[in-house]
Amino acid sequence: MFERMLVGKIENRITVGLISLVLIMVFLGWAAINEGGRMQAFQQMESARSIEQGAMLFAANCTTCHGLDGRGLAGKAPGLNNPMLFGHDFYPDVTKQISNLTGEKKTLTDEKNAAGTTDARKTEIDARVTEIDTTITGLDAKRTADTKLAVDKGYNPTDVSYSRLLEVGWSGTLDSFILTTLIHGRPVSSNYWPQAMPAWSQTAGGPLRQDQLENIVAYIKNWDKGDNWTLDDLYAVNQFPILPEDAGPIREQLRQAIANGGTVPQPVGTDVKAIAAEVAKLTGDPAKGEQLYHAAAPATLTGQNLPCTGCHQQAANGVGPMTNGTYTRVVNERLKEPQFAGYTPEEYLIDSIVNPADYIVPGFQNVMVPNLGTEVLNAQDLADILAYLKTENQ
Amino acid sequence: MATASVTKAQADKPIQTQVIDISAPTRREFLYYIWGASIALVLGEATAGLIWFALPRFKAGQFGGVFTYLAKDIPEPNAAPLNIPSGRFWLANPINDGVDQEGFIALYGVCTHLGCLPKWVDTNHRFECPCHGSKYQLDGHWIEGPAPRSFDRFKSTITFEDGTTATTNDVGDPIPLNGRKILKVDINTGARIRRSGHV
Amino acid sequence: MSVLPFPSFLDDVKEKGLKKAVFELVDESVERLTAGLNIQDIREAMRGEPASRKPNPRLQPHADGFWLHMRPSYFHADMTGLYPEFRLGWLSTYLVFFETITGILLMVWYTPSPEIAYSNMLAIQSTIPLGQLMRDLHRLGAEAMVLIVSLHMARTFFTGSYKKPRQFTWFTGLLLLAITGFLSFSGYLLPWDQLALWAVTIGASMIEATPPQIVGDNLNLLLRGGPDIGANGILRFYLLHVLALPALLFVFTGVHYYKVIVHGHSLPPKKENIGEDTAKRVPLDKRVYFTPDVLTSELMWIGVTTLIFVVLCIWFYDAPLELHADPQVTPLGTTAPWYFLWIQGALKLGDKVFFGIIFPTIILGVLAVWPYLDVTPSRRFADRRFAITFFLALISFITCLSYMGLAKFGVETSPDTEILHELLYPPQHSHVGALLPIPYEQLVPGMYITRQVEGDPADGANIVAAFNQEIAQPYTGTINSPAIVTGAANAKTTVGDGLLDVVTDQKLAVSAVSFKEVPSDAPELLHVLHLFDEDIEANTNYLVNGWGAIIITQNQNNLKRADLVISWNEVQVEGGKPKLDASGKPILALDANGNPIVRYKTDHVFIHKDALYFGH
Repeated sequence: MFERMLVGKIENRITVGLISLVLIMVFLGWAAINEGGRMQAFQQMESARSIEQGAMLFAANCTTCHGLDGRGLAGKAPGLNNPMLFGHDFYPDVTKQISNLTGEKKTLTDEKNAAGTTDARKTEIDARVTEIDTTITGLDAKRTADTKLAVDKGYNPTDVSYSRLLEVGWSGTLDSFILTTLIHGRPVSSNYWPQAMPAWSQTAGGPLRQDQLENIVAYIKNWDKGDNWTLDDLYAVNQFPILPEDAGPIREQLRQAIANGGTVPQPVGTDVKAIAAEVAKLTGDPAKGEQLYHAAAPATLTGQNLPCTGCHQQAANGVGPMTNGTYTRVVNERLKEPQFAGYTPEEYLIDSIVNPADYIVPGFQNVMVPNLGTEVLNAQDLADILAYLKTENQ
Repeated sequence: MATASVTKAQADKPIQTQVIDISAPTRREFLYYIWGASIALVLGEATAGLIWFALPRFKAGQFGGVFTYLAKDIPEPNAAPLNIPSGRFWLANPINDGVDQEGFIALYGVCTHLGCLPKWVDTNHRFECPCHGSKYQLDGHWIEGPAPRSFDRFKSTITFEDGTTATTNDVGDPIPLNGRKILKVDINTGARIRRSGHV
Repeated sequence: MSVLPFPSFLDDVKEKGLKKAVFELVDESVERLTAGLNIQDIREAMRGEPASRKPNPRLQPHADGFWLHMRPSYFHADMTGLYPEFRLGWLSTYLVFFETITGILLMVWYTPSPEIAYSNMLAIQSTIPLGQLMRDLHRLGAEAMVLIVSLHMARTFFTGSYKKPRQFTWFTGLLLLAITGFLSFSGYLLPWDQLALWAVTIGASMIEATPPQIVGDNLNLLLRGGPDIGANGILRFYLLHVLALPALLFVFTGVHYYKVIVHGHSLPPKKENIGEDTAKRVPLDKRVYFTPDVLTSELMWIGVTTLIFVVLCIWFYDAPLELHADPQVTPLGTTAPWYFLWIQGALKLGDKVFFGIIFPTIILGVLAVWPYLDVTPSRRFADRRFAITFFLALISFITCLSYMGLAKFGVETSPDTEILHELLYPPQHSHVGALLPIPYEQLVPGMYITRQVEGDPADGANIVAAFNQEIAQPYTGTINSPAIVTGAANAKTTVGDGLLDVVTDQKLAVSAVSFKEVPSDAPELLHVLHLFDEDIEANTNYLVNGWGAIIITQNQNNLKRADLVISWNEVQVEGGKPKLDASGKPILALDANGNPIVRYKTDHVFIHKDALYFGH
């Protein structure tokens, strides 16, 4: 009956209808004004959820080869949490310089080949070209030396190889590169590491749907740091797509790993007591230890030579404690200090190697990289080095 | 209301009876009848054709295929079954514990009720359907719930290390292993065996 | 004198002057367009004056025009108000047009293919201006239509309006109800999310139950276009949704409304007797003319109803969109659409042929023939006690069945699974697992334990420290962690090692187990830990000595991972329930050495900074 009271009169109906339409216009207008923000928020939320879904899939399917942190596993798969994948150039100035020099060289060569160039000028040009070539070689050598830790795992800072897309000459986007690789997998060739990647798309006989692959792409791309990549990120990568130029040690290591039943030996970690217990089970070879210490033999795990003698030389040099008499000093001086009560000499040495920042011998600064225990040394190598250091008891 | 009396009058009106003509049809009338019958037949044929047209058909081998697994893929006796999502089936290895039938079995993991996919719930040691709560044993036998049949299963062939083979029987019972070592198992998802009920 | 060989507008201008000639031309055009009303007539109608011409020109469009030929030229005054019909029939018709318009607009951005349907949905919501509003309107309109058509039927039954001569009108109405249900249901699949796929899989499997088996199997194949719902299935459902069913709906809406006009709207039971022809014999003093009275009402109601829908959809309603359809995983708690819950409830009772096909058919069949069986002459409530009791009983029955159709009824699984699901499930039916809406910054990386929230909150640090010590103690019984289950592990000696083993199996980069207290600036995390603890406490018969842990790790710069672990001592389980001893205590399952077996169950989720789970 309230209806009769309210809209029994036709005038009231018209008013109610009019108000309704005005309100619809106002509300739709309000929605339209907010639509841009709403759409943006939804896109942001959607891409976030896509990354979440990708993370679930990556954790379930990809981490066994590409590692928990996406930095790859040596001999298994390249790092994706990797400045190279995102095309980050750590030496843009050098790249620019080389590009300028190459341009100059081309201009000069053109001039030399042009008719009417005098012989004197030609000689001048040749000299300059040689100079340019030397400069470029020098710059490249310096870049390569500066990033040696990564170069040993397949990185190449020269030319366009700092970027995976440029290196393979991919003309599409990073998205399409990752997606294509996911869909079809990747076979191996002599340039590549020996483990192939299976096809993941259902269209190529794999288990995943297209939308799932797109979620994984979103997750992988979420590793991009843009301009904030650091060399530490580069060094943290365990494998780059292409085999390093000097692949001998790595190949040997992989061969052995496969011979040992496919398990890659693990680094020792940083737990001193556990390492000491493990090392105690092994027999250290002082001769091998000496080779390792003096960079005459590569570490088993990484295939790289150890950097010990960079600082610790036989005699005192002010950079690191000298090697001579190390064991004696440990027993007679270091272990007398109160914080090392209960330590054995082995434990002290292990602690110094795997946790270099824990204790700095007075008069020195800590410059040791803390990755020996977590990445470089396996138990046998460490046992060998300890055996060697025990001989330094003069 | 003024209308009430009118209606009363209408309701009281005597029902008119009508004489129905039951004489034989004339020729023209008969022609209409057979013409009508032919329309019905054509429509029937058209419907049959339409169904034929719209029924999905399958290329040979599009559906189902042979999946092969090695001994390491086969679950331990009485352990949680292995899910093969791409083929929608489970590999199970129940033991004779008074409930399950012993042996190896490949179960088609689609609920026989309404097509949902039951999950293996290890703590309850049974399959449980998330849609209407049907439950199945490790050997696929129905426990409770509205499902009309136990799990369907796929015909499988086991090759043992000693070279002998064993194949699922016609009713789809587990293949007893009797302590023999499995070399490989072939699951033919093209050959689904329906159980006849809660057996 | 005409300049042309026939009388023309120019002659008129010459004869009458420009102004008058133009007016007459416009007036004549308006009269032709409205099929009978000239400007003067329209203005009179708007002013509320009686028509000055005879015969009444306002009746002319109903006789000569197409648009009004099916609308009566006048209504009975007793049914133009909200009561007794509550405008339900009118609303149903309104929604038919509303759904058609919003549906056609959505078709612009939609492709029926499993490859892209879901990304179309995302695009509609994210990049198309007013796309989400349009989708919300269509979805809400669809749900409202099922509800309103059902209410319309209920109203018709209660007022006895199905009685002679309106039996066939009732029957067509029933058909329309069924078509509305199928329309809504066929639209369910189109977004191609998990909700769609599994609700429709369940629905389509009911059709498979049609006896005999060969008919059911082939009907199922015809509908799905294959043994499972895939590309063919979504296309067929789309064609049903946008072509076949709307065509049927329009045809039967026409039949239904034609019958309504022929027999007249039924008046309230007291005011109309059986067989009375209210359509043609409306007393003069009861006539409400369509123009302008009813027309004004309807235009007003169009405005008001649209306003209500717009307001609801802008502020209060979002059409659900779950994760992309995955034919390999059925989510826990899958249900049919709410209007099919009663069938789903019935299906839990037993045989799907009976409860899925025969039982609903019987109900519809009884309703269809009811008007032909119930031939008592009175429409008054007092004279129809049996019919009304029957219908109330039917409504109660359907309500009970619908309640039984809910996921929580009869589909419980083991408590460990339930608890993890409750805390972690992705958005589903407009709800989400309790952990997901925790603000990103409150998810502080670390390991947290439910024991912390037991006892005195001030003592949290000590409880956590004590627990850390406890799980570091050597344990001689069996620890049911993955490495041990697969037989690869050597002796794990503490419960903490077992947990580490579980976590490692989950590919989580955690090297040691060390729980800590929840930071004081993460109250919502603490709240979830409380919930987690309460859930475990509520199942002490099952999860004996149970505790839960939340392990949060930073996965990427803006992405965290939350792992939930439940640990408990295994009990003997029979039929999904723990076995109890004489004193009502659960019986522990013991290993070969007579020690309790420690079990773990784990699940995890990733949470992105911008994931915005409901309002945060």
